[in-house]
Amino acid sequence: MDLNHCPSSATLADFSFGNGFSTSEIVLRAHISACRHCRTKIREIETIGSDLLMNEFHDHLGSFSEDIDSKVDEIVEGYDSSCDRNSAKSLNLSKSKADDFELDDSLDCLFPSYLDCSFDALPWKSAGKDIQLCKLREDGNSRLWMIKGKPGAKLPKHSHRGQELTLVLKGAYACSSNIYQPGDLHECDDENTHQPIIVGEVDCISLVATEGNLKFDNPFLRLIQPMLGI
Amino acid sequence: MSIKLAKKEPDSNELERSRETKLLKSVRDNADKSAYRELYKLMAPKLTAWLCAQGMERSLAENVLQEVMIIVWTKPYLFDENKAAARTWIYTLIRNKMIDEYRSTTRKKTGLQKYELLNNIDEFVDATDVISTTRPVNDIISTLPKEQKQILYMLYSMGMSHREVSETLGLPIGTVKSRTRLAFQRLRRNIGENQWT
Repeated sequence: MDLNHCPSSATLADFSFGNGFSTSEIVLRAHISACRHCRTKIREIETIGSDLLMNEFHDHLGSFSEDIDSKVDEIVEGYDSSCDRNSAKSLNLSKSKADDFELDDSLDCLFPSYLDCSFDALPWKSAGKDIQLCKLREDGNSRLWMIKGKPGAKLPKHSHRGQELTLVLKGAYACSSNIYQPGDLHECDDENTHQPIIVGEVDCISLVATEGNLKFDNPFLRLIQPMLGI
Repeated sequence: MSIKLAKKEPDSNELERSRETKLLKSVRDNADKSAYRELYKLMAPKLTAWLCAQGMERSLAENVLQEVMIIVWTKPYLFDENKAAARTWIYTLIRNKMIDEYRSTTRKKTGLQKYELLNNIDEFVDATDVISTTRPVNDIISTLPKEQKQILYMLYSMGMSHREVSETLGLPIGTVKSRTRLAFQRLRRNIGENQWT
């Protein structure tokens, strides 16, 4: 699938090193499953890491070379080569961060496994005119949401205390002269203030990972923010 | 008008990468103990140093390394040279193992370790200006602007997230992101593009 909006190199690097905030991983995995371009970039990040490792990039950190022969002997005398062919754990360890996703280039196959129910069956809550929210997961400051808007609906103008990653699952929205469509990933952080507007003929449903609370311009929304938990 | 492309000679990085991959294939296909020993000697010291730089205690780093090198010996059939070079496969194994250890023991760098590593940044960045030019990767690193080297160091050597880099350097997150993008663009053009194996 060719997608128009992808995560930044910085976010892919954080994902590759396991440094992203907890709910970001789900949103990124879903996007990457549909995006060959990002899978290639992740492999590049890994290749660059291994080349830096082997080219003295880290050598000033010290060298640990004593007892190598005895450590090798421990392994080659203690284990048969290719002796264990049934370990799922090792298989997972040996995977590139791009490997998990080489299953299918569509989002359809992925979401039932995350949600285990249809979009309609989710416990949606109203969050303003033509906007509904559903919190799927909370882990400290990190939250995972679904958000649904009717065509023409405007989300309140807001910025963030941390990163926000939005993956469009259905429909489309416009924001800052860009259109985001299914599979596209929209990345925002503390420095962006934005106001998405649902466009097209159908409801727009997105999966959103947020790190920290949203910041609203509207004082009324700031007042009711704790009740919405956003 | 036709453009004739000059055939690029493999540099020492590519030759070393091919050598390591050949060794791992020999381990996989022939259970070759001497190839395994050579591969271990090439990679193990660098991997241990890297794990320690990520904040791992030396004894834990050695255990993690040994567990990973056991996988390399007992499950080399998981290696596919069409997907990655040997060094990238082993780096991936150890990176994944390290992420598991982070999650399972909530290991975090101590303030002291961070401080010592931060002091290393300037030394490292200065050193890359006069680094040996016999290493093609270092050639490329040495041509990067200082601020991009600094971020690469913090990401790859210290294992920091972009937010941590932004907070540590007192830079807006957007600046950190754009420096990262520029550094990766330069590295992708010059390191290993279409030369994974």
